[in-house]
Amino acid sequence: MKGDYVFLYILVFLSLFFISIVFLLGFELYQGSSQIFSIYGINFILGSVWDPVKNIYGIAPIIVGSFLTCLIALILAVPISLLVAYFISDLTPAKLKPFVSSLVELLAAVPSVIYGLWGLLVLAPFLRSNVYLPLQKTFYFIPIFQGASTGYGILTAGIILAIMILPTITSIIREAIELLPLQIKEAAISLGAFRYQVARIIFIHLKLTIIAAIILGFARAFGEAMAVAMVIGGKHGFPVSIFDTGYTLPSIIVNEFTEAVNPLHYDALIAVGFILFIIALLNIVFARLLIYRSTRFFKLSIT
Amino acid sequence: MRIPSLRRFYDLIFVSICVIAFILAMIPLAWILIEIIINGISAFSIQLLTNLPRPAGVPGGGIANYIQGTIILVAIASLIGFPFGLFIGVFLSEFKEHKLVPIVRFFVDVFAEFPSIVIGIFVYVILVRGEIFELFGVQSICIGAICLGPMGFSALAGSISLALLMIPIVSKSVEESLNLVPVSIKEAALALGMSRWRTVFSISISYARTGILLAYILALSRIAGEAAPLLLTVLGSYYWFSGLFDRIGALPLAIFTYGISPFEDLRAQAWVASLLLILAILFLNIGLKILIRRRFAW
Repeated sequence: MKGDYVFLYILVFLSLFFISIVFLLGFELYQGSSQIFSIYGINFILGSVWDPVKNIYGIAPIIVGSFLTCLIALILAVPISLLVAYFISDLTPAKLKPFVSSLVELLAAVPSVIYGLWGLLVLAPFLRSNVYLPLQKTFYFIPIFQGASTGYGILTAGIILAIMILPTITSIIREAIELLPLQIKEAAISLGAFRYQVARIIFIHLKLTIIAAIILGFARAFGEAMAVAMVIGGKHGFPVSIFDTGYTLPSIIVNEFTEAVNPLHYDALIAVGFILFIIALLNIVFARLLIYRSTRFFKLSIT
Repeated sequence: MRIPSLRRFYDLIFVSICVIAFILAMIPLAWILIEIIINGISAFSIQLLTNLPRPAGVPGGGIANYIQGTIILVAIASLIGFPFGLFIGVFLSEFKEHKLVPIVRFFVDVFAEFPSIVIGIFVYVILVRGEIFELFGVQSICIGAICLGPMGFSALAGSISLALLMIPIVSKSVEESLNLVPVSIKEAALALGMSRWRTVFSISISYARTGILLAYILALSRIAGEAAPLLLTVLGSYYWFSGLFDRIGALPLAIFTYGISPFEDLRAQAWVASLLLILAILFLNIGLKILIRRRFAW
């Protein structure tokens, strides 16, 4: 029918328009930062000095800071989210399941700027007096524990990021556990496996999904702007200890964008955004392909 | 047969570690909510909801324009983003045999995970600076008497960035809820000679209206708290809304700028803004969900 063709063409047009927005995004970010790349070349990424007043832009310390905070976040969040995912899908009574899982989803619903406010005014002062200073007193001989700690910095940002990516990782793994063919679990139980052994078998079968979830969590942490910008303290140069202040790629955009000193400074921040976009894109695409692959595998094994 | 007690012991330890992990994950949630409620209520006063902001130290300042700004931004974003997302969701779910569908789904999935600040920079480059017009080789695009040029920091640019964030969220959940529509109903409609687009609108969307409404609410609660893209496209304002092409205030931006300020009274207002924002999000997430389930459930 004629109406159907028109309808389908409208839908196809809108979908292609959406896809072209994604391409335009990449192209415009590249275009916006091309001037920076032509002036500084590879030194933009490898340089270690960021001084807008003298128009020197190098983001190596910022990239290091980004990876460091995300690494801390993953170390803290991954084990907990694995356990929480198993807890929700297998240990919670069926009646309580919607309630418990919506509690975890609520953690994802809190806006990042509120995490930032809480981190800035509550968590950082608390951590400084109750955790960081005692830690430094005990482990003063370990190099990465030295240096002044204000409560704001890499570690605090990592902790906040861990809280924020926990629901992401948990919900992906929980959904995968629920998609897993029941026979696998039944076979394990009928062989007399205890719950920790069942969990181990589930996690072995979900290897790919877990890796994908971790990568997606990493991408989420890597792109998180507001909360990190509020607690990381903001310091140019390589961080020397985990209590040191620093910068991440998104947080430098947030902190310096409103007070950029000259047009080139704006361009440099756009270039930072471009680098962030590339790294996030690679992670997301890789994780998505892994998820598609693993779910296809399960659909095949069910039928 | 007796089960070796060591395994039973391991099992007990494993289960208790799971419970501890869950409690550990819930501590921050409870802590944040308690802090917001305590600090927000203690600083709350009715004049905060009616007055414009005043400089730090001057009593009588309010956050009214930020509330207004957030409502306006979210409303315009919904006008643009919701239909767009809805149509893509319909395409993904109702035309599964189309060869574009897997590609579109991949792009939607990838776009959904993009850092929101990247989308903010994108909108800053194309609209606030107006480089989209350079792409076409013109200064501005005119349709009749209305001319669109580089917008500068403006409410419209902010709304568009929020709309972009909204599209993948809406289309993914619309797709999921349309997938739940029984095929038999659609087949019945088609067998009676209904055209396909009528089937989509009168049968599928009507059947899945609860899910679609929930998709919209989910997206709404997600974008209401976004600050990063707004910072790059709106920049914030201390005055009432004065037009689509002017700067506008927003609650998340107020939380950020007031939170990092050194003044005690502004920080207190940031807590109140957080209280309002989190109440709105909780209301959307929990209250409306229950209400809609009860009202529209089949």
